[in-house]
This record gives sequence, C-alpha cells and structure tokens, in this order.
Amino acid sequence: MSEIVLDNVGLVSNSTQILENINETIFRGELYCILGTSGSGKSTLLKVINGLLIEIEGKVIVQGKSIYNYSPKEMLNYHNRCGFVFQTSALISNMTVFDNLALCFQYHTNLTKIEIFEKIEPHLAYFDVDTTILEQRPAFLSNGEKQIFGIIRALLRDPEYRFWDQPLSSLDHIYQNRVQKLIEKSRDEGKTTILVSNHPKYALKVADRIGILHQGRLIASETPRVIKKTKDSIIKRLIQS
Amino acid sequence: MFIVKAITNRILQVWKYTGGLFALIFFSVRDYLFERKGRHLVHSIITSQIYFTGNKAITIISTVAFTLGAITVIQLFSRLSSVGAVEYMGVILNVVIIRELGPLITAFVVIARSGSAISAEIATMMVTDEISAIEMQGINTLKIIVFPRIAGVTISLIMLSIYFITLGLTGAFIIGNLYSGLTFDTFQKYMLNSIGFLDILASIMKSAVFGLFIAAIPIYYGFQAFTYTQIPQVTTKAVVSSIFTLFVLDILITLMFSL
Repeated sequence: MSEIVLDNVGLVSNSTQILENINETIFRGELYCILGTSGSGKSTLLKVINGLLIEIEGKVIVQGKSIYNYSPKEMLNYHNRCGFVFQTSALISNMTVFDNLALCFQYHTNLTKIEIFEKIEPHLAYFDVDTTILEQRPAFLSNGEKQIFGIIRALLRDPEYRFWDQPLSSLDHIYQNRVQKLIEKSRDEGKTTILVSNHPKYALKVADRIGILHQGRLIASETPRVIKKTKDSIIKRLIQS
Repeated sequence: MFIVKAITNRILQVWKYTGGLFALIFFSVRDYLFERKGRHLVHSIITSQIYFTGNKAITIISTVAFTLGAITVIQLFSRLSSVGAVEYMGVILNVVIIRELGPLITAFVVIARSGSAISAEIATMMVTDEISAIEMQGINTLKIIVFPRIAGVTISLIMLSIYFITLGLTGAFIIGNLYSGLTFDTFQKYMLNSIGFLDILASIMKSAVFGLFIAAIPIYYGFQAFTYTQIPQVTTKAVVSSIFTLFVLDILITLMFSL
C-alpha cells in the first residue's frame, strides 16, 4: 500500500535547480534509504516530503492528498504523526534540554512535569544519559549529545512516520550502534521510515529500498541487492565509498 | 516599459509585505482565541516576553522619561515666562509627553532593544531549523512563536508608555519645582487639569497599535532568513522598517484624533 508518493517533485532556489522530476512511491512500513553525495539534495528532499519548504514543483501525496494542499490544521495533524531527526539536531537554543523534550507534551497534553519526565526517562536510560544534563541549554552540549536529544525528541511520541536526516554523523561508534538499533526497530515495528544516510554500507544492510540522488535527480531506486549489482559508475563509486 | 515593470514590482512587494504583516497579526490572534491547545505554554512565553521587553527596558525608559520631562519644563518655563504665557505650559507638556513623545520614544526604545532581538532570534531559529523542529512536533508556530511576541510587546509597550508619561510628568514637576519654585497646586492647575480622557485614549491607542506592528515587523523579517548571512540583513531591515512604519502610524493616529 502506498504511503508517500512523490509526483514530479522539483525545487528551484535562487535560480538553481536543487531537485528535479523526482517520482517515487514509499510504501507503508518500508525503510527507504536515500543516498547521495554531499549537495545532491538528500536533506532538501526530506524537508520537501515533510512540507517544510514552500513553492515546490510537483506533488507530495500522503494518504491520497498533496500535502502542499493541506490546510494548516491538516498539516499540523500530519506533523503530529511524524518524527523528524534533523542533521543539526535543531534543539531550541533558548530552552533547557528538558524543556526541549517536554515541549510537545506541554503543547499537546496537560501532563505534569513529573509525568513528562516519566515518559522521557526510558529514552534517557537507553542512551545512558545523565539526567543532570537536562537543565543545561543546548549550547553547553557536544554535537553528539545534541544529536541524541534530537533523536529522543523525535521518537518521544512514537510517531507513525519517521524521518532521519544523517542521524549518525555526529555520534561515536557506541551511540551509532544504539541509533542503528532504533532505526531497525522502527522498521520491525512497521513504521514508515525514510533515512538519509552517508553510510552506504549500513543502508545496504538495513534498507528495504534505496534511492540514489545525484545532482538533484533520483537516478536509481532499487532494493539493496539490485543496487549492489549495478554497473552504473556513479552508484558504484557511491556505495564503495 | 522598464519603469512600469519596476513600479508594478514595487507595488506587489508592498502589497505582499503589508498583507504578510496583517496576516501574521490576524491569524496568530485567531489561533490563540479559537484553539485552546497549549494555551498555558503560550501564557508562559508571553510572561517571558513581557519581562524581556518591559521589565528589562525600565532603566532606559526611566532615564529618558525623567530627563525629557525635566528638559521640557525648563525650556518651556524660560520661553513662556518671557512672553507671559506660562498657562500654556500644561497644554504643551500634554501634547509633548502624553500624546506624542511618550508613546513614540517608548516605541523607539522597544524597537532598538526588543525589535532587533526578536528579528535576530527568529532568523537564527529559521536558519538552524528550530522553527521546522517545532512544526514537526505538530505545534502551531503562529501560536507559540508569533502570538506571544506580539502580545508581549504590545502589553509591554502600553505599560511602558504609561510609566513613561507618569515619570515624565514627575520629572517635569520636580525640576519645575527646583528650577522655578513651581508648586503642586500650580502644576495641577495648569498641567494635570489640561489632561483629558481623549489624550489618555490617544496615547494608549498609539502604544497598542505601535506594539502590534513593531512586534509583527521583526517577526515577519525573521521568517525571511534562510542562511546565516541573511540574519544581520533581516535584522537591519526589520529595524528600519519598524521606524518607518512607526512614523506612518503616528501620523495616521494623530490625524484620526485631530478630526
């Protein structure tokens, strides 16, 4: 069953074609990996799929309707079912780490601070995070710590759609393993997952399908087995890197 | 042909800008009023905004208000007494401090302190994907980013303006007393009795309208930043545009109350 359909998606910014004629269907419960060299438009495509960029070409259809035709309320409902791990972690800088994690609960529910902490605690335990760090501002954390909290924030509400934008980039190998397990768990639980990655070996290991972006164009979209056997020099170079 | 195109583009830009400002104000107020979700969070952000815009500006506002009141009364007393027109001092003080400079100078201080800060803050949040991260949690940014800032700045500006007027008049009386032996009875007779309901209403209305726009303009420009290099650019544009809008609104409201 199709979940997210990209219909001729394109994006022009400052007279530069960032994305061009992307057609793809991502199925429910699928783990879809996007690979590509730096500047190929991977992160931009992920933002386009989430309706974070305006004035795109083509359509992004989620459950039968183009998200760019959603009313503001429909868009909020869609986002409420999504978890997005940003490459830069994107923690709110003028809030403490706890407030960052608690924000969605404070907005959507009437939970007390203690109840919110109880919801956060298992995630902190998974990453062995010291709770004293929760009162710090993001500026005082390392990039890896910020990334961990960005991941926790995205998964707190057990979202239906999960979008990971290079989640492993700032992490050491211990945390990388833990995050990789979380990505695999998402797939095993049947959550629709899109992973933008700069780790081709990992993508080839876990993905149901892989899309290769090159200069804003989707040049391949196949299963890892087919991708491994490809004779295309661009793809070969990318997956051997 | 080129001129026509340039003029058309400029008109469209102004239309888009004005429409954007009114849309920010209208939709953020609407979402706050008609959506109960997250209201307690909005209230706590409004409180922080009032603290930042209002409380933190008290020192500079106190200094400016007291000094302006004092300078005005010294200048007026020496000029008016030489032509035997001291009784007009109250009317002039009323116009200068209550109707015009109170709301205007307060708004200037708020633009310099908070307008630029709001613009830079939102621009940074845009560039670092913080705004996107808030949206991706199904949180209405109009409600928790835009509305609290508009409400906080507007409430602060009204309160600061009243404070400015009070302190301006106090400064006028104290310096008038020390400089020329002005008694409280004389001050009340010529000054306080000349203040009407319409003067107070005009002053509060000016502050309220100024507040709405000098909050909405930095927010509008803040949302236009997409790269780090655009942060100082949008902040400068926000300040310049706020000052320009402030004068246009001042003229419009002054005309409205003069009719």
